[in-house]
Amino acid sequence: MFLAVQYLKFHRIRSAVLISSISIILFLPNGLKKLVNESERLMLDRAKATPLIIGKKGSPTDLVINTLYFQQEKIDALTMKKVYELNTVGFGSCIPIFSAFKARNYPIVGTDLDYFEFREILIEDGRFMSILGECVIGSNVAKSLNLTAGDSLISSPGSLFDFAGVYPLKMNITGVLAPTESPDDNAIFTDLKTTWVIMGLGHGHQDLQLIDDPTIVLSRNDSVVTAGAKLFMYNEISNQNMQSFHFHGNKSEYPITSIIFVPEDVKSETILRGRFESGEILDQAVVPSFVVENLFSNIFKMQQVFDSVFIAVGFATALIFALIVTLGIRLRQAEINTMFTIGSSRTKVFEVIFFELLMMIGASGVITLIMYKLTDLYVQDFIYRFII
Amino acid sequence: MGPSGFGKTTLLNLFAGILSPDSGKVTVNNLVVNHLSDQERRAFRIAHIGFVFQDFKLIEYLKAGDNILLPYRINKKLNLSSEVRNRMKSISKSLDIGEQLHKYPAKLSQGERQRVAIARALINNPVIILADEPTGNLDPANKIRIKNVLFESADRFGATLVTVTHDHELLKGFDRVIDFQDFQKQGHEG
Repeated sequence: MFLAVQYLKFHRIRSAVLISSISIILFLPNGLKKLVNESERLMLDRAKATPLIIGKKGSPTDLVINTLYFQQEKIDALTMKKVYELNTVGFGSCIPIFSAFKARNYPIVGTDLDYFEFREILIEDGRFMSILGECVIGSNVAKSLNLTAGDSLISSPGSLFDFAGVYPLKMNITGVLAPTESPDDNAIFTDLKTTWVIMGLGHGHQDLQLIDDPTIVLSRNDSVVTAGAKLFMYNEISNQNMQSFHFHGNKSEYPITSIIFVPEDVKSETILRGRFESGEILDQAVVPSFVVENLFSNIFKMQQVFDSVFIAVGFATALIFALIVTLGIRLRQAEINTMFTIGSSRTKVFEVIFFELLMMIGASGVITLIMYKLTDLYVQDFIYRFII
Repeated sequence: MGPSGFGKTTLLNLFAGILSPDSGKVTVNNLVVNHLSDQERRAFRIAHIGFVFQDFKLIEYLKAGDNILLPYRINKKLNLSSEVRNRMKSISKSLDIGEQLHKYPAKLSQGERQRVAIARALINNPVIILADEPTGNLDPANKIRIKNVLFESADRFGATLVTVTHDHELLKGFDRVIDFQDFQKQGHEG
């Protein structure tokens, strides 16, 4: 045992490389399986908790990913008209979602307070947003950015929809949501109007009635005032300037990315889906759990390919390991002869080599178990941070 | 002594019981070595023989001290007691390598490596030290030094020193010298 330990210590880099290689090969297939299974479970849980998503015709997967996990895949926008139309049709209630902007790399989700009731999300600190320019943040956002109620966040310029008028808007944080272990922990929620201000559909500026400067007010008549580029636009909504904020155009034409539809009962859901499928109602209604299950059936097919690759790589590693051991024994022939000459038995010599192998395989096994344990502990966090 | 290929190393291997003669017998200390089993011959080597090799044959991944203790590491029957460790220190000190025990062979000079090899040969209080070209790779100054160390060690530890060499300088001081060329001539003459 002593000689085996000394050998591994002396050749520590070679030993570490071998141990790492074996550990990775042992860990990867099951680690990946664990990651995929856990991702499926978490994504499916959320999908099953969402009965129906309505969006523009296009990829159902992108629609579900955008609505449930706020990944902001590029999808065509609906308009608020669809919400009004569905409310008229009946069968259930609509929760509009507008997920197109970001602040410090976290998605800004425009919605209404029904969303929190639907998801059963509670406030841990502060209160829900109530007026224009206010937002609440998920627990991970608060933790990562070290923010709390009373702080502020500025939306990032540029967006999924890339309209010309995307202005950075300073939003006041009124509350931090309780942890939900879902993508809601990584999102910034505000009301739809605030997201439309970010988009440039609504804005606030100096009161044109009070300005005489001809470089700012270019023309004025009884009904129309034309302002120039020098007009100061507000990038923060406060009690002092809130009255100046206004929206242009028809509100029913304002964009949203999707609608979470909560049917009154199964029958209502079936009828509504039938109307979408028949084309009586335009756009698409998707059942998120079907989409996620379909997505994972494809991933599992891919995983079978990965499994085969891992088996091949594992076999190759075993061969390389055997080759290294064989070459090692050959290189150590002089050492083995010396031991034998001095009085060692052949059994003792092979015992030394056996212990070396045993320790390397044992160390790899322990490292693999630690990696499995860490995977168990952090897989959810990893999935929420990097996958959904 | 004798030129290469005349069987000098083979003779040492016969003494040690590593090889067995096709005919005749090898008697060491009144023990017929070639009548012993493999296991008994190993035990005989460990108990009675100390080896010094031409190219030292130190184990690269063991520090000098552990190289000296190697016979105790590879044989369960030998107890690596504190007494043995003290003997190792004492031998090392007498060979002037007491300060080098924590170093790996690669960090030692040639002369130091040879002295570590001699210390390893002496650690089990051998009755015979078998030295195979012990000065073969050394410079003249180190040759004299190692020769003196071998003689002193054999005297101090009461061991018989058997050396094979083709170096005439090393022969001075030995009680008995056998020239393998003479052996061969006698063999041819029957």
